[in-house]
Amino acid sequence: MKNVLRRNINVLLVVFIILFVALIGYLWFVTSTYGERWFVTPYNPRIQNMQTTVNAGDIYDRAGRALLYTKGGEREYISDKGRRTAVSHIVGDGFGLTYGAQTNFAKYLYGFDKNAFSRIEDLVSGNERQGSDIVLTIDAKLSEAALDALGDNRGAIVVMNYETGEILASVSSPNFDPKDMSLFLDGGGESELVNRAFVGLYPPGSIFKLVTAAAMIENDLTDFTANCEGSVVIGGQEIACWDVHGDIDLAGAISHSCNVYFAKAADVVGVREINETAQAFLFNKQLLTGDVIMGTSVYEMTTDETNAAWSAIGQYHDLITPLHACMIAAGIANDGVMMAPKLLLEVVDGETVTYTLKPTTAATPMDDTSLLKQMMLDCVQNGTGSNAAIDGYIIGGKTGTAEIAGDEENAEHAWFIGFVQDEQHPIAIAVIIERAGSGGSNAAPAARKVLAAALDIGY
Amino acid sequence: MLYEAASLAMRYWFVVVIVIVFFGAVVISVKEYRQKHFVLGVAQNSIGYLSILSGPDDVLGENLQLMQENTIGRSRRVDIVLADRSVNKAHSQVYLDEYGDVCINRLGDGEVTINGESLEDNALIFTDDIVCFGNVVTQVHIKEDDGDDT
Amino acid sequence: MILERRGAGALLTFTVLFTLSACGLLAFSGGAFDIGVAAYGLGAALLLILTYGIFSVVFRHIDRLTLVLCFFLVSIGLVLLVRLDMEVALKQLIMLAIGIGLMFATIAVIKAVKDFGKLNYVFMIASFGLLAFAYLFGDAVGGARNWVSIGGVSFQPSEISKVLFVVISAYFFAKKRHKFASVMYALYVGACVILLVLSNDLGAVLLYAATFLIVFFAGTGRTGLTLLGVGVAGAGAVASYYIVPHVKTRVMIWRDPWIYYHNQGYQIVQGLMAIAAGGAFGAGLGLGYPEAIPVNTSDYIYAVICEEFGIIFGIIVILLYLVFIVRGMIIARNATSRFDALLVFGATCMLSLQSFIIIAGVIKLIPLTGITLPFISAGGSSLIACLVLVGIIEGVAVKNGKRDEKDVVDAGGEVI
Repeated sequence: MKNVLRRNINVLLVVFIILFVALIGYLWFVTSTYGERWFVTPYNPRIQNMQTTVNAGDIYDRAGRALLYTKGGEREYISDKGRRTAVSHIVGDGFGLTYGAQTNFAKYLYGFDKNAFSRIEDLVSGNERQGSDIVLTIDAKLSEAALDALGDNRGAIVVMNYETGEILASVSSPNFDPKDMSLFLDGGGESELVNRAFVGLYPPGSIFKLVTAAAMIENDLTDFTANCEGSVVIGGQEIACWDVHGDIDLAGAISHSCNVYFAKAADVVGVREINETAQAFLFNKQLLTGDVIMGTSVYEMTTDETNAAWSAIGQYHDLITPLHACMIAAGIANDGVMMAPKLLLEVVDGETVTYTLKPTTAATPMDDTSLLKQMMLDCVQNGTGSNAAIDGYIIGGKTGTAEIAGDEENAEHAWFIGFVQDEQHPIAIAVIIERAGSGGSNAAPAARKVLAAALDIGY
Repeated sequence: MLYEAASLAMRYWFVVVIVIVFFGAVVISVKEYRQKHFVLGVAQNSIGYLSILSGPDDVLGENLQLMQENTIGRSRRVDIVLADRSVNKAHSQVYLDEYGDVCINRLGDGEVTINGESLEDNALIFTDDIVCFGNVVTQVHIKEDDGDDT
Repeated sequence: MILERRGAGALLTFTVLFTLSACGLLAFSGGAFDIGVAAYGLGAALLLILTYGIFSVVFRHIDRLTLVLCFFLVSIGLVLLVRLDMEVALKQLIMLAIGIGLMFATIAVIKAVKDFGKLNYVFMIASFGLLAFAYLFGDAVGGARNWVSIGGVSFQPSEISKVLFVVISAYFFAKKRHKFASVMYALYVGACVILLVLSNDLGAVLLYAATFLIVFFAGTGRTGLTLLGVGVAGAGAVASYYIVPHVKTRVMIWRDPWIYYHNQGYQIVQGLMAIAAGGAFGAGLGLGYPEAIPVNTSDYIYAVICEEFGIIFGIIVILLYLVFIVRGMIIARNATSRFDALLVFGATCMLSLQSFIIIAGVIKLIPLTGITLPFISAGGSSLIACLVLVGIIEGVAVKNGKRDEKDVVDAGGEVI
């Protein structure tokens, strides 16, 4: 009888050991995975608290232009309002209302990263606590050009280097002026504080066709052809095309953005296969890069045949962030290797560089994207993306015109994602302009302006 | 501020302390568990002991545990070693018989006396009996059976 | 043959050094030397040394390592309370002294009695009465109605009740009881759990239910019935998710505290940020920003530990609880009677579950339920209850030690 009790005690002892080991394992895992992210939230009072006790570091753009600096103990933004607002979402505000560099890289700016010895040294030698300076990957001038290209429209533009993942410019409109936050501190404002480029989730529309096309290539269905009569009825619902394309193949369907072709293809490829490819393109995945806080794009598998067709052309519940859209173009341009987006180029502590950017990949490389790349080049040469073409350069791209569910009155969101095929100028771009209408005639010209500006600067 | 410097430096000390306390606790626990396991194992299985009243220096004054069956002698191969010239290599045997009594017998020509009387073949021994093996004098202690081990 | 009882003097020395050095450091935190803080550290250290000395002389066979482990955890708490709020720290030190006195009494009682016999029915009424009293006349603090104040002294009846719960459970599972007794016991457990649910004290509900099931399993060895019990408890939890709005919010906050930051998620988010702020070695004692965390002296003290002492320290704190559990279980295994075994077992489970529930809640492994961290959190009733539970464990350890000594002496050996 007593032995039974002993055995039971042993069993429960093992259970307790497992529980506590799991507790330790979880604590270790969760702090090493999410610790940094938990720390760098605008809500963290420690960051605001530090502002009063630490001489915070300066923030520069990649060309060495100061964006925010400490002068006489005060934090100063640059005086040029145009430039200040163009980079406001990236630099952030000083009140912890947005996820900008001021919050995201607080660790460096306020010297949390310095090891104890150098901090003790600082303290003993009587120096004021000094944070490190940071250099961002963005170019302030290019950011201004990008904001200019958006005009008065709402939307976002992201430009990145597809070989390294460096974000060269990222603007979101409407934006805010970090020098005057009174409106927002009182709880006012609309969506000015939202960085649409990183966390804005939009229906991707036709740019999602690249994913569907990739799924077709993956599953050896490149020979599939369809007849476009301007619309098709699937599951009792009509899916319209913007033109009558007649007999069309995959390459043609991408460059002319044929809805009917891909709506029909959805059934041939299968949602499971599309989902698999979408996952490979980082849909439904939270990306923890440390440099950017980014929304999670969505592709939802559905068994309903109508919805499956809609989701294959980037409608239904599909959602994507402009940054992710840019990463997709970048990944295709970079031969299937999708680089993780980076914002922090360097950290400088006094004279010494304590951190330099190291490019990392965001996803496992895709097999072969040369076909997709070719289709995107075609799209700009003689398809819907022709407005993005720039003389003397080879541009690839894909337009998108995303319908907003339940809103037939207003115009659609205009999308363009693309890249420059040139070893000297490895740049990718994503443009979204809200409610501007067709992507080819609205987003593509904006993309051309920004790309031209970038090429002009020499990226 | 000096306080900050001191506090930053002392973080390591605190971690060292807790690591020492943790490992100390583990080491003590393991040692204690092993020793207890061993000693109590012997203690609970023993049927009593012989305390050495006179004999070789190395066991003088000690209590030698008696188990279910014990050989006594000068050789290293026996259970209870009495390193005295007057003791044979294998001298005697003490064991629990089938009635639960403790029995002693002679091995070979070893001389054994119980309370002064020479042992011929075998005999029962009880607590406080004085048993001599050659020149080694021992007193017997038999554990009382309190019956809660069964 | 010699059985050497292991002392824990070396570990006590480190515990005292920890307390003294931490208080010495904190004494300078205001810039000038604060003699009060230093005196506090000295007082606490003396109390611990004195207790250790007296206990090991009076109770020769006490498990000294368990006592020192408990002291170390207590001193972590004292140090942090000095850092957070001197007033609370002073109160805690007084409660510690009272708790140690009660622990002494508990050891003496447990050492002397067999199983309390019919007195258990009185315990049952008292324990239930305390919970009922808290439900009827208690004040709600942090959503749960579990505080009672009489004549300016407020305490948590559920803490006292939980000690009785351990004793009663051990009694009823120690041997096959009459039908009447079993029914009474079942009614008692059910009534306690219902009362706690009604008082919204979810942490206590979890604690009582889990302890009951564990002791039930150990006592009866009926795996099927235990699993059924776990199933019923699980179903109850799921049902309460739909019925009790309080539970539903807790679960929702647990799944994503960040979106509820501005209201109910505030506490857990602040806790997570504090844990993340510490890094491996912590921000340094007195250099963190635990002021931002609500209830940082009691439920959330683990987050403060992680912030100021670091994750490594935090992990070893969990390991110390684990060593404590293992030692408790070994004492239970060696106990002389089934009642004693179940008593120690129940007390150990209670303490370990409590530490698991709150630490896992703070680090967002399970939904948060308000409950104190044993030995470390501020709170007189909680500290005293924990020390009394240690008293129960030590009382049985003393009994075991006596039995072992008798065995060894009977076999001609000695215990030093």
